[in-house]
Amino acid sequence: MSSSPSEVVLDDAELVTRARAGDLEAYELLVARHTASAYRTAVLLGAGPDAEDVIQEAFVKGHRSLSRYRGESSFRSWLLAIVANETRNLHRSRGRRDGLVLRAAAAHPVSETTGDVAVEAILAGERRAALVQALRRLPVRDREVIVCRFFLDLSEDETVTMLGWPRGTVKSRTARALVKLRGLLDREEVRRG
Amino acid sequence: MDDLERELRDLADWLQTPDPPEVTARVRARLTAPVRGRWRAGRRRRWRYLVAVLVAVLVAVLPPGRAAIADAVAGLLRFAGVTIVTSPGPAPPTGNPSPLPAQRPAALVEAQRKVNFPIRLPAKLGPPEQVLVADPDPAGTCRVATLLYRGGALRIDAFDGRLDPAFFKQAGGPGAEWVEVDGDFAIWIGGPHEVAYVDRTGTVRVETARLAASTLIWQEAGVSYRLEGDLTMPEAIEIANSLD
Repeated sequence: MSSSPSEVVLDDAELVTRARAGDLEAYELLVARHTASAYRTAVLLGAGPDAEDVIQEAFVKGHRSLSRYRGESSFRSWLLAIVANETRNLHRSRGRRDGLVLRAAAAHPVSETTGDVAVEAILAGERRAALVQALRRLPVRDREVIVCRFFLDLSEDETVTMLGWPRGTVKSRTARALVKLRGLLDREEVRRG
Repeated sequence: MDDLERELRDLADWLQTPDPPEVTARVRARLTAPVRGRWRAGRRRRWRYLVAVLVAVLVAVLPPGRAAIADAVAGLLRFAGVTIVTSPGPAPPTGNPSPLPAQRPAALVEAQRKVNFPIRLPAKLGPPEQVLVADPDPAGTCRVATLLYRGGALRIDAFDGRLDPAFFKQAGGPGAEWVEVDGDFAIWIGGPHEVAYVDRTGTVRVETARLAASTLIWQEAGVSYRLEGDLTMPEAIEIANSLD
């Protein structure tokens, strides 16, 4: 970041106003500020190794359509909507979606511990793996809403903006996705006995 | 919030998301490209070159911290198979032009057989005084065809610009500028500058480094051209536009 210590930290709304007036420096600050969450969103929505291209495209498109951002939602959720859209375009063009991946580190901490703690850790690890498996089998819309609400920790309002659905749909879709997910997990447990 | 919801929230920390990349410089470079709107497919590549130039310009005008990022993205400008060092470099070498590897004269008809792209003559200059071909592969196919005029003081090098790596490397310094040939981008370097040939192995051949006169570089139908000689920019563009 280029801001010198003496500079006042500007909020998103102020930066958007400046960027809209043609201040590229301001937009660059917005890009730097939101790169991490945009990237995380693209990865969690299944962009895989193309996540970087997706967010670059999203930032460029975001700049072009800044005039359409009215400030009724946070800049972040408005931007994430573009990221989600770009990710969908990507899936359409390459015909596949990368699934969620558990961190490799999840397998390791167990070796350090013994007894009940170790057993618990192993069970927790297995549960997480089962959860990821079940999520992969969820329909796309259900997964999108779960990513928004639970992984990105977006509010209902922000999810409405990001997915572009009516509030009622966000509510009902979330509830239904959880029911489906529970069903998939139960079935999995029955199968494994 | 029930258990499953809590579990999902906890899961977020266990999901693999690589470290976010640094995209600020590239986004900025794309936003500062002067031409907007839809691009015809053929223009895309040139657009990328243009971005490279703009990034190079940014290197010059941005504060040092920013410059390092931009520099890493594009320290060099590549256009039409020619690499142009846009930053001010060391003093150029002096001396006479030395030939390209295994360069030899050939009749126009024979030269055409030796290269895998059509040799086109500029109507403005007419038939060349001499034609040279250079750098043959084991099968005898040459990479470069050169047309000489005015006793060798004016030359046009032509080569397949779709091949990598770049064939020529030259120092542009601050003097390199974008111009237009036949409605497409071209580069004009309006003064003496260093030029070296990059051979098939990618080695920059220092022995062929020489001081070049003003040069116009452009590309047409996948073939790259270098027009070099004691010319003004309008003269050079006129010659380039007259390629048959």
